[in-house]
Amino acid sequence: MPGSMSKLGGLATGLLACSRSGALSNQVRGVVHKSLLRLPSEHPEPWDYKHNGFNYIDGLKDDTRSHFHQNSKLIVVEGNIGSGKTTLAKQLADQLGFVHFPEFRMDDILVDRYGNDLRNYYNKFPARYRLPDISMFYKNPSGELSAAMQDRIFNCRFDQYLNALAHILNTGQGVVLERTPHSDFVFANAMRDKNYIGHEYFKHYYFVRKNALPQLHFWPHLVVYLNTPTNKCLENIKRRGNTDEIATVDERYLKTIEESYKDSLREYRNHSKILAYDWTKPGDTDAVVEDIERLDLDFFEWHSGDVMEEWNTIVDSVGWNGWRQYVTNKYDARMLAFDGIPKHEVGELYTNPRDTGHFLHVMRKEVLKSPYGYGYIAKNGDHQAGLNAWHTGHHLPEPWYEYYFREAYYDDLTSHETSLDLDSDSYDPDYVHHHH
Amino acid sequence: MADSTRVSEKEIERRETFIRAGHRARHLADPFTWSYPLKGASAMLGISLASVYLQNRWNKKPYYYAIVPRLLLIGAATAAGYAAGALRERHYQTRDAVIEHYMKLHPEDFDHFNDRSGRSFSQVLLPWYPRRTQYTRYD
Repeated sequence: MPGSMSKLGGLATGLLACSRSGALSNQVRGVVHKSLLRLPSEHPEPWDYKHNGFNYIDGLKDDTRSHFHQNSKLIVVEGNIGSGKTTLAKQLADQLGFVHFPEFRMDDILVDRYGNDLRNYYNKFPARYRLPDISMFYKNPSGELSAAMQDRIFNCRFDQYLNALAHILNTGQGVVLERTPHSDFVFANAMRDKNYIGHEYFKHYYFVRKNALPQLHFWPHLVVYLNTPTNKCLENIKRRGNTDEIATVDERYLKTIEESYKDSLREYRNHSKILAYDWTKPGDTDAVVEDIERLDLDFFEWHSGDVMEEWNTIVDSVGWNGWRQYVTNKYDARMLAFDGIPKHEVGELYTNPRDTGHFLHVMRKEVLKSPYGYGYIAKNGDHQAGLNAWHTGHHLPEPWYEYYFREAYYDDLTSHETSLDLDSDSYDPDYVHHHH
Repeated sequence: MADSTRVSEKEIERRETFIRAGHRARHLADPFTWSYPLKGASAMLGISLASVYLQNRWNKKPYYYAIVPRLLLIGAATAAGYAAGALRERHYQTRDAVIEHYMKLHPEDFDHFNDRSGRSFSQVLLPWYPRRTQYTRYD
């Protein structure tokens, strides 16, 4: 585990908490409005992690702690469906000078860099690879792929959380994130309550969750929970006008989510600050900003619980650079979280290997129209890139990817049909119509 | 020995030098006429290029994927093959030189090498005096 030696230093830091330089030299300030933020004079330029990635050797030329300032915080906005959290998150990010990470949607991974919407090819894909997005889920919530969709969403929320951490550690700018993998289980509970997912996948989900959450390591500094009653949420959902959403997201579904959020907040309470608001009538963002400014998000004592522990027990540059590489590269985190977990007892996640072969055939012949992977197709406008590919974990030309299951998964996917037929000459469009 | 079994010195020399490294003219189409370093380098280069091609195709990558580090690795592998061939050649030269030097220092141990056509039994066998035990009464 990168930076694990820094945990030993945490003890010394805790014992010597009275000698913190902030306590003696100047007053410690929490998060401030962006108009009041004063960066130190030697504050470095943000590290362009999306184009440069971050490897261990980059730590020699760019120190992580130099990027931090008062507003290098992770704020998470939680709430029920239709509670108004997107509006609040946007306004919070705008007022504090943070960057807003919207909630993950399946559209983020179903449209690739060339503008190909995989949903347009669903009639050619095998049934297992027609992952529903939220609209398709609302239309047919009892479908066979609801569990696969939930599994994919949790996987991508994991990536999104690491992206938020990478943004903070590489640029110093704070992040306002909507929902986290920590609270994703509220949807699994709701889907299980209405039998949209089966018992086997439900158990598997909690097993994966228990394995994956410790790999995120950092908890949010602050969780803003919007407590909107379910009838108010239903009104907001009706106002959106999506008939399938209105049919699927009913009182029972929302009530289960609301009850599950109580468990989620109980879990957050051990590691993060929490602000909860009655959002029956949407409140004023300025009031929330004032409350955030009054919080002390920099306080940590070793013997006073685990709130802010992960952000304050890393003691040196090696530790911070290690965690920065960990959250930016994502390879170790994903490997420790998701690899090696057997799925053979979860029928809803079963993938026929022949379906995988046909999916790869369709990708080569119909979607990409090329035997090469993403980023390496000259006729799609890709330049010769990846000449100095030293990064680990994926084969895209860029060192950093946003979601593994958007494009990076494609190079790791293989099958018997395609391993010896590298140009997919045995592609059979009628495969999807055959009886298997 | 009978003259019919004797071979002239010239014929013996021809037989010994018929198959020997570096004796035939170098042909591009015949790898066995190349020198050992060239054979080693060519083998490693071919194996490296084949593996890079297959790995690129297997991983859905064009030829230029990671081409800079791979060219360095192919160069290193080719140099390793060249070094292996050079080491082999050096090893054989050293072995031959050591043996020739030893033969010059101890020529009496290698007299039998001069009798290429063989020797008669009288020259090979030691003297023998029969002493039959059953006739001891007449000693």
